Amino acid sequence: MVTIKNLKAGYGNKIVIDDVSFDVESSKLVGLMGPNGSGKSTIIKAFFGIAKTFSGNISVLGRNTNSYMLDELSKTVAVQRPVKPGTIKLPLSAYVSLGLPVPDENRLDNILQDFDLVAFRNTPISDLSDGTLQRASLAQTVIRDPKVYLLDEPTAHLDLKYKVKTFAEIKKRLGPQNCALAVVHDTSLARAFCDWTVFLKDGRIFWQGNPEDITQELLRSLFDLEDNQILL
Amino acid sequence: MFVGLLFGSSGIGPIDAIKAIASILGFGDSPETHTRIILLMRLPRMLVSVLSGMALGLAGALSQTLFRNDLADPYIAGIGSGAIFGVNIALLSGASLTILGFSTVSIFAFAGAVLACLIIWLLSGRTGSTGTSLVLAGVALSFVFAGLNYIIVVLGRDILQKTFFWSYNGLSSSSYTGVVFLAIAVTISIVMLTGLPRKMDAYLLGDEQATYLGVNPVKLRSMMFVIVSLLTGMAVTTAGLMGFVGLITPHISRRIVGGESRYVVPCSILLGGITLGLADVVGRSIMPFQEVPASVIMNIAGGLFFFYLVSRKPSW
Repeated sequence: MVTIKNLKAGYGNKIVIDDVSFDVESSKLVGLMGPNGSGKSTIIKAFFGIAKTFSGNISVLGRNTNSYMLDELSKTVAVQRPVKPGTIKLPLSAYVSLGLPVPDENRLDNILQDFDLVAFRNTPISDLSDGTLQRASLAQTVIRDPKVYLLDEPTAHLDLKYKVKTFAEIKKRLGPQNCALAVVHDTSLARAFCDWTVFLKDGRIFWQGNPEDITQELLRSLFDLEDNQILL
Repeated sequence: MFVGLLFGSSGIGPIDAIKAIASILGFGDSPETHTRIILLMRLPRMLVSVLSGMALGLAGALSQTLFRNDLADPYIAGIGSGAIFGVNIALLSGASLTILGFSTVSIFAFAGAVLACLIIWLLSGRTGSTGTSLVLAGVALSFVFAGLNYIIVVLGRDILQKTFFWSYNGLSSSSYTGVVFLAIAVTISIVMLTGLPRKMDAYLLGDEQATYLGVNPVKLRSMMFVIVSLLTGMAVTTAGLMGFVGLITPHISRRIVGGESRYVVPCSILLGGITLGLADVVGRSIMPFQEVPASVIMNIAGGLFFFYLVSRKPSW
């Protein structure tokens, strides 16, 4: 469903992603892993041109992303990225509803229940805790019912219960018409929920494969750790 | 609004005013001077104060969205000092022509306001910068204009006094031309805003988030710039400098109706109209045979009220 081919992308003149290729097949959840600064978020940002594509391309449903109108692309691909609410007094319900072209009370109620947000319905997003805001941003992504989910650290700020719940909610929604690409840092979560993992290092693919096959050695060399440093 | 017709500094009391209005509507008799004062002075003035208040309330709500800053007001892009710059240039050149019922001073004020907005808009397009840096650019531009204004004031005698009078007493020269143009500006803006509140909410989250939600932030920003400069330029031209309305009405609106743009925008329009209309009535009736400019009333009463609001609750 999503094909990334020889992607070279970055900001200004700076190349962050260099010659990256991989696919996300339908109904699959692919984990994007790697050290900080390895270019994980840049791949996600490149879908909407927030990061500049220098060469290569990203195609969604067989079409190059830059052939989509913004409106069309935003209905097909939903991106969840960290939000900085600052002093924005927008109530949570309105924030989540921004995922919909037209407000839909029924759908909103269901999603708020799925993410345990009913109690915060009228709270301005500036007053939410980090964890609640994170769930709200997931709710905003999920309410759109997109074909493609792009999730940048969907479990940031979440406790163990919500980490598991979040991935379960996403997996629940992956039918034959959907797929998801998620930045994941937690190896055990990747093993539990991802169908495939892609490891990036310095903007290039370091390794890709089944999450079952992630080894201690692989993680040590990826994160430049010594032999005696313990890993999960 | 009706109250605005009853009070004034011309010595016609509320009872005489009611008689005059009745006679205009065809009931009873009233001295002609009274009906003339009501029709040619108080009515247009009241309409201009209410309409420019609406324009500034709306422009304020848009500015705070556009700059993503709660301290933004319609004058933040240097519009205020830009307008004064225009006025100063007009006075310095000594030109006096009238176009569509507007004096040179008014036209130059409008041009100065739009020029300031244009500079900031071009800058935001060139650098792609938004938020704080855009606000800073606006503040910087204000200083540049203030400097130029000082030079002009030194160059030409009498200009300082005239500019000062123009800034504060804009409403005292209200005309029906002003009413018509303001009404057109407000109407066009409201029409342009149809369907925008949802996009404004998405825009508030930042350019990147807006893009993911299908909103082109560059396009929306340009649109808001156009509306803000049109409204503020028109308000400055017809009513002089009216500080504070644009800053406080969106804040008070958010307190009343919450943070959604679809409620904040209409509420700011309404509150802006009421506030400025009232400020002008108070300013005209507070001292017999003398006027206190509405902007002065706004500054003092609005400032104190705002201070009270902020101090009442620690988290804004």
